Amino acid sequence: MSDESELALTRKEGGDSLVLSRTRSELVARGRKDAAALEAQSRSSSDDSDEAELRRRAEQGDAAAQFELGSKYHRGDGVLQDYDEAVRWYRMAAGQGQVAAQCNIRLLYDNEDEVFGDWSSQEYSEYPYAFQDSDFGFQYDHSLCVPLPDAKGMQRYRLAADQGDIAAQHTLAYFYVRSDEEPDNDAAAVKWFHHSAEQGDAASQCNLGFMLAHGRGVPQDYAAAAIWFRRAAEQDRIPAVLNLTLAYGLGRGVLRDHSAAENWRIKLMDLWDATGDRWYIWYRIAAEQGDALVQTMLGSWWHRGELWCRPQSDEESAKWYGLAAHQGDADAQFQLGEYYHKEQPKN
Amino acid sequence: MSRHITHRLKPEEEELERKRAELAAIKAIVVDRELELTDRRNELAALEGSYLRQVGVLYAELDEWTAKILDLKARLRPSASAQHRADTAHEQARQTYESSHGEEAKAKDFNPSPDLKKLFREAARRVHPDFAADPADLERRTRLMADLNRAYREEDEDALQRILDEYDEPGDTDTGTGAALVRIIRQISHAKERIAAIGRELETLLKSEIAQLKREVDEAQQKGCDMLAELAASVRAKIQVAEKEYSLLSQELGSR
Repeated sequence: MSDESELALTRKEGGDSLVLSRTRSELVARGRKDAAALEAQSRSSSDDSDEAELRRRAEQGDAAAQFELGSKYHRGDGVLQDYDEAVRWYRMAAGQGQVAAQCNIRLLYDNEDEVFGDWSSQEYSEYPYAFQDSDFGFQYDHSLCVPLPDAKGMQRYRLAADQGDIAAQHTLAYFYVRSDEEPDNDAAAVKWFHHSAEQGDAASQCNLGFMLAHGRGVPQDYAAAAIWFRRAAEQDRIPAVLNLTLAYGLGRGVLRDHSAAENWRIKLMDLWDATGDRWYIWYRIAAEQGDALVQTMLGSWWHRGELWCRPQSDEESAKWYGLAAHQGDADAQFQLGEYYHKEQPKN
Repeated sequence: MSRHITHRLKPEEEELERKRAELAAIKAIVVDRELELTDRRNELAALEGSYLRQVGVLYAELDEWTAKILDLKARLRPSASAQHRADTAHEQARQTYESSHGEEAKAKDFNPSPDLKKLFREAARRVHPDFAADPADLERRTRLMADLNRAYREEDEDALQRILDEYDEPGDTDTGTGAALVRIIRQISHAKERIAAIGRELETLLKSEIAQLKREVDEAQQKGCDMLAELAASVRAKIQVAEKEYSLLSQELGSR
């Protein structure tokens, strides 16, 4: 198998007892990821008996609990975001006639490719706004991956949002950002992000920061953006941590502070380890859009083999360092120099 | 006889003595490193075996269910993308099955006794290919080293002993001090290369997924948890949910 040979360890004596293969490595990685999720789950359920109670009720067939658990998976709220798992719980609730669950399944299924497909960059072509006018790569938090509802659906979300449902507020704001129908949809999005952000919703805090940083629906204000990024980052929201890293690295809205940037970057790595690969695509897109800082970050992750499920690769590392170096990033230039120095034949 | 006693070593002979001492020292290092490498490999292979048997097979089952569920979905809501997803899931299920039911899944536990380790060291010192005298000897040693690794992996003390008994080091065929020096210098150089290669190999090994899994399993064990058993239980639960979902979908399809 060609896969086998790529990772196989060569050994002249033969008689190998362990050959590393990509497919088996992936199977092992899958177990590790699931085990990490299990641990996170048991940690959060032992911390929080409500969570365990909710799960218990859901497992016993309580439709409302099933819906709530499904929506937790849907939003990645307190658990690792998992659409398959969300659909499973929604389906159980829907089977018992729960309308909200039926409605959410439809939302998920109406655009199945988006939800269940590979996390390819094509998938994100639907969200060009997040990167198109991103002058230095602050990231939008795509915590929600559902298609726009029709007018009736919007109305339902608006009602729930008006009644103070944080999730509905965030979702509604998210719909406004994506919808082109109303001229002041950015302002409406900011309004609802603000509502749910004030109530502590991390994804909304991050997205409010994004809107502020880009002056969308609100006058541009880097300092305010950084404050919101920080609040979300303190809740371990990955895109927010990335944004704060960038803010410190570039001195946008905060005093430029490389050691703070580095601290947040370390935090990012920890979170990344805990949540897996899904986020990688965002950084790659930002890097492809020419963000030198993200390029350097990717370079160093590849260099140190810190990317989830991906073996260390000097070549990938050199590629990203190369792009950043080209833009004058001194750190990347240095690293690239090291790489070529190492690559040179010794004799 | 007395002539020998008063005999003083020539400079090249002194050098030869020094190189012999160096060779002996480096031999011990090579053997140590070989043992370390083979121990790591065997430990990881053993863990991989039990992971595949305990968890891998369940993933294969889960993937099978997922593929079947996607089949039903494709029939309920036919579309090119639904079909594509089902096909992809079948391919994934096939891969998972192959990965978890291959030879690697049969790897046994590995707990070599101190005696066995000692025997490995002795045998490796004797047959290591880096210390071959000539091409024919190299070929023989290479084969024996492979046998040795295999016997050690299977904790087969008799086989190890047989290798030790079987192999006679060829006598000194060197025709003079110069030739002996050249041979030893080459052997030392091979040994150094091998030590470096083992280092790289260990580094690759320790970065592998299975090595990371091992660390996590060990950590969990220290806390009194059986990580693989817990993982297996959670996959089993997922299988149950999948079965339920499958039957719901079947009903839905049947009621059409």
